Amino acid sequence: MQPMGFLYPGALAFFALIPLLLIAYLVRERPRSVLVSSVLGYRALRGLRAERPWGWPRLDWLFLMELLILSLVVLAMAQPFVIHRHTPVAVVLDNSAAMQAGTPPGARFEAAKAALERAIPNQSDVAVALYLTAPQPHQVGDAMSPSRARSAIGKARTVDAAQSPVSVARMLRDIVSGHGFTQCFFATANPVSQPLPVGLHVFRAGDPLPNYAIGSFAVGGAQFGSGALKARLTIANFSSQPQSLEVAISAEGKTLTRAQARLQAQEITGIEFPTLAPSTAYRADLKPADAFALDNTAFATPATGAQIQVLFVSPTPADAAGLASLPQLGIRTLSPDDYSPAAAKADLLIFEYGIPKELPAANALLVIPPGGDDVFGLRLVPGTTTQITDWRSPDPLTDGVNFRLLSLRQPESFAVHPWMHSVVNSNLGALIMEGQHQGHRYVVLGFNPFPYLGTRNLPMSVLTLNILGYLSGFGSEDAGYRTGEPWIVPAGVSEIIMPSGNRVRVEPGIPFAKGTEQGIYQLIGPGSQRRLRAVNLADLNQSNLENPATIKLDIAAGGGGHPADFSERQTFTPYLLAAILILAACEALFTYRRRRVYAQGLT
Amino acid sequence: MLGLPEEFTSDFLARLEQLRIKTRREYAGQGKGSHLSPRRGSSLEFADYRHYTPGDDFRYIDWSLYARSDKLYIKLFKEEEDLLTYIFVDASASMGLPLKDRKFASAITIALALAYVALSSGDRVMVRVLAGSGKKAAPAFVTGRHRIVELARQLGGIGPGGQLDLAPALAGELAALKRAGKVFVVSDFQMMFNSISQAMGLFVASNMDATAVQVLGGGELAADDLEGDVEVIDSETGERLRVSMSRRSREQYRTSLMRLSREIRALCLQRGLHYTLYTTERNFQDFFIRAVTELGMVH
Repeated sequence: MQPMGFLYPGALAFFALIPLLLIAYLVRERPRSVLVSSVLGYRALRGLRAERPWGWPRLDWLFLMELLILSLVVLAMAQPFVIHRHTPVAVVLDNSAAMQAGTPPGARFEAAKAALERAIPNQSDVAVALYLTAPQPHQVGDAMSPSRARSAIGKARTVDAAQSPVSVARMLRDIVSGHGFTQCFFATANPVSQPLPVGLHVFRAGDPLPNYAIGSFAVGGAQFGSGALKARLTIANFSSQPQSLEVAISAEGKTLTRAQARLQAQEITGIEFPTLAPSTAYRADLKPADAFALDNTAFATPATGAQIQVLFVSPTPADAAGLASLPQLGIRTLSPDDYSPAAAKADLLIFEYGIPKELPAANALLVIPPGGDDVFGLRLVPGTTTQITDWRSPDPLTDGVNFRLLSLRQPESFAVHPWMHSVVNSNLGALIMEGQHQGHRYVVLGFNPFPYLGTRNLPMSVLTLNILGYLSGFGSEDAGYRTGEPWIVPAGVSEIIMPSGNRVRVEPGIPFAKGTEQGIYQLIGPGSQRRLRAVNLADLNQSNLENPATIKLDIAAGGGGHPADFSERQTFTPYLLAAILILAACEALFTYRRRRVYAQGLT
Repeated sequence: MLGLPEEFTSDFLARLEQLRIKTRREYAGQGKGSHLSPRRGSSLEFADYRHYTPGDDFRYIDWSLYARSDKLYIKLFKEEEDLLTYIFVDASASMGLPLKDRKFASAITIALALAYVALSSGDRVMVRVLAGSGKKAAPAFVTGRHRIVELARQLGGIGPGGQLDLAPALAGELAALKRAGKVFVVSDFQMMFNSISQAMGLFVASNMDATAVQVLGGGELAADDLEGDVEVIDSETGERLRVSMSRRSREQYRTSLMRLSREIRALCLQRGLHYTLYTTERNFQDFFIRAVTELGMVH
């Protein structure tokens, strides 16, 4: 006998409405008056009327139907349900990039799936919750039957992203101790710390494998203002033998350059290619091949190479004269009164002594902005700034700048900002702040660097170049975007074409979390403008197949949680609502027909 | 056509002209006609003998009887006169309900058809409307088939309304009549049976040969527009009754109406009167031709 219940039993009090319905029916059933030729023929019917007790109106089937509808409505409000009890079983499948390894490719993953399919009990009362570990640990659908779970496991695919051993350990801890599963089956290539808690069964899929991998791969300008491109790669030899590795960089199907390096066992090193021919995208291939092909390839796009259009909004446009001497910049000046967001079509906006009335839809530099605005919420700290106290390092803005050599005339300092962090601080507050909001970079300066561009003030010139480089996308020395890590959709981008060719509609400013494929992503902007973005695995921990990271469970051995009541609540409300609708429709139809017949009788 | 009901097609009128009213007794008319009269006259129908008196027409002496009896007898023949036909149409409020049944219009059509039969036979016709609203014509006989248009126009100006107590109303009408003849009463007879019985008794007492034509509505019989608890109001008396209408009660109601019709029929037959029932859903022309005998007519 399955237990039943009501989600809102208090609603059953509405059954008291039934007497009200009866009263309403009695009122409604006051006989309508009809003029007839003669009542002679009706006199014989009075006997029928006397047959009914108390002389009440006849309770016909219409009334009974309304009574039934009201009862169903009250029941639907109370939301009745039955509880199906199940034996809960959790199945955790490691679908990280490392599971693609093996001979043939993917053998590890297939072995893991087969082990889990065998492990699932066949009892009909078993409810299986399937979890995948990458890019973030997550459950696949709701609890399902063993056969459906096997089918779901069979359909599972690996992603090009790494898994976080910490996140996986946390999920396992929750499953074993918190969610009340009676058993948990986990198939992975990573070792799991011993001893295992009660109920957790781990299937180790795949043996340690030697592997050669590319870590980071970045292509960018050597310096802002320079047209040359350079590439930097990190490669690793995760084997027990020294190995010579060859890296080839190609673009548009043509090999541009090659390099070789001999790495000791477990050695990681970097390779630089100082000059690369300009291209929109680059691909790096590592040889020799191994059992994990994903990390033998990496992709990169140059930070930028085209002319950068700068809109300089200032009451003193002559301050932009120094910028015009920089080779990659195209400067357009505008007075604050002429500025409008619609006219601000530029790669980079510079606001001198002012702030736009709404957040710019492009990277922007604010120079000595007035405080107390509603757009950025900048607050000036009153007082006289006397000296620079500290600065962030490393940071793309402070790279190569000795701020102690800077001499600033009456700079302004800013108070702590909700989403911008300070880069350079004075004794009062932040002198330089940077931050990202809705996919754009913003830098705020408490002083004006433009009058000092050139050789008269070398630190200020370098700082200016750093700022322009940061806002233009230069200066990033990291491995770029990594699979599985969400990134903010840049402004203007409405669609993204995945490396597999799938198209995804996106909204600017919203995190994009579907980047689980390694390759070149095409960001489609207005007018089919196309920008490329490289996304790589770039995780040498994941690539280390000989010594994969151990998943450390912080659960006491034998300290599994108590098997809790794992039940599925099935509500009848949708069926009740459907029955109500059908009955109401029938009643409406009958009432309409009855009225139509009466109307015809009158005419 | 000329204000006549649409049922009066040329074919139907031709068939009506082939009919003539038949009475169960002989009535004296007001002029020459085709019906035998109790008066002695010059028809071919032998009536009696009487002794010859001087001045009698020699042509009527029965010479063969003189040869056998050596006495002069004069043969007497019946007179053929027209028939005085009275048509009473019930125009009370009950004839107007239910609206869709058009009972009163059917009653007028029946009255006009009867009148046309009489007029085309050379008889005199007087149409009287009982109760009702509108301008009523003064009591007068009309003759000649062309006067049917005039009758139709007169009846067309009458609408159903008012209450009718049949026996007193007929008593008043009959008292004003000077000569007996054929009477047709067209009514729904939705009234107390006693009143109907008294009215039929008046015809007998007045030496009238009467035919009762009952008109009932098809919807009136079915009462299928009534469902559930209903308060029915009598259109003439205003009497109110609360009834519960269902399929079973509708059947009982219909049975009750038909029982009343059977009782009227039995009453008429018992008193030597004609009776027929017309329900409005029937085809009028078909009804009239088939009910010739029941209406008291012959081909």
